[in-house]
Amino acid sequence: MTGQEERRRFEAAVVPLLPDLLRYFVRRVDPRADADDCVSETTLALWRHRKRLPVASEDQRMWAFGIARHVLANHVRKRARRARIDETLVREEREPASDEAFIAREALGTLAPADQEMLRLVLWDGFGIAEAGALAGVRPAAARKRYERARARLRAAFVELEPGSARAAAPR
Amino acid sequence: MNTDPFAALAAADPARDVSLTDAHARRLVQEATARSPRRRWLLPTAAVVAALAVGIPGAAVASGYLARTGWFGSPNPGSPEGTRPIGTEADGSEWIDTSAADYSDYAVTLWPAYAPLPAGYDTEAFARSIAADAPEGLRQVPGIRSEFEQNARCAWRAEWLDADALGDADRAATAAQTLTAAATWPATVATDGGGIVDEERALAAAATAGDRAGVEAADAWCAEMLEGRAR
Repeated sequence: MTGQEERRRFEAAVVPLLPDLLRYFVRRVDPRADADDCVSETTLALWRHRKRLPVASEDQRMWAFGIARHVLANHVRKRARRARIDETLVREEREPASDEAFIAREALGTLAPADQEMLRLVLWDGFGIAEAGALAGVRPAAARKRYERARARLRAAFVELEPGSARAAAPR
Repeated sequence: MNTDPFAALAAADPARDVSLTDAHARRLVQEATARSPRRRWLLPTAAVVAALAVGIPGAAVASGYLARTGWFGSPNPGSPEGTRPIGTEADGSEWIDTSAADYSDYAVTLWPAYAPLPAGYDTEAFARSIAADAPEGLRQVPGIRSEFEQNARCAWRAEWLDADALGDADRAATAAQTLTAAATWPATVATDGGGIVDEERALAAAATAGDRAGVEAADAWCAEMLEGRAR
């Protein structure tokens, strides 16, 4: 494959993934500008790892998000260091769409980080449970258990924050 | 009024209005692909080329293990038909073929010496049972060690819970000390995609404080992880 062909193949595979990758970072980093930087960094990393670009489009998505996860981890580490030396950093929070959405996000924040991430991957990023588990490095059966546990914990936290919602939040 | 927590959480998506134009996405890709390759890729590439030039990688032959590919780091040293990498992280370590018949034999040699197991455990049997569960494919050494470390931590968590239930303060103290050290075992730190080390620190802190409820809450999926494990 010539360099030009390689670029074309890479572009065809990666351009459609970038909007989802941007949303992935917007959901996990702040300020918003950092999400843009993370997307640029991820695009560079994908290009550096292009020899591993899978053939199937569904595999390409998992591959790209696997790399994005590492970019995110590096970003969080750097950000934590910056935050320690600059206490004036203020977290940017977008206003949720409704009171219930606000409560749901608050409830999410009370869960263990791994539970939060499983719910984000499935409910926001649109991954299947097995795919979300693969990104977290666990087998499908364990991923299903984790997801069910995370749902139960979210439901309980939501009801605690909004007692009037108990009936609608009951398990189905 | 929407009081379904999952619908409400879906509506709380902070990226619900975020979009990226096709033109912007193309520009990002073109900027990335236009940059010069980083110098740090030169050495591993050269090493891989050299290894492939002699046919079978030397390390694989020397080790005697079929699971050892002799391929180190990134970029991908070829496109083995029928296999694909399990993980996407790449460092300078060797890629191990978990589908090889002798993978378990090799995996037990990777058990980290700094990760002890509680009394009553046979490290080799424990490592073999973990290796037997590995999905087939190519995997780098830190990923394998990270999985070993996680399982070892779960064994120590179970040890602490047993000791606490029996009122055995010495055993509980040993378990708490090991969990404290285990929170920063190197493969876990190196492969932490976010939050793992924090969770393990919380587990160790609960154990050190004698907080049984805290240890139980910080389960880190240990129940699933230890299912069917040999001791």
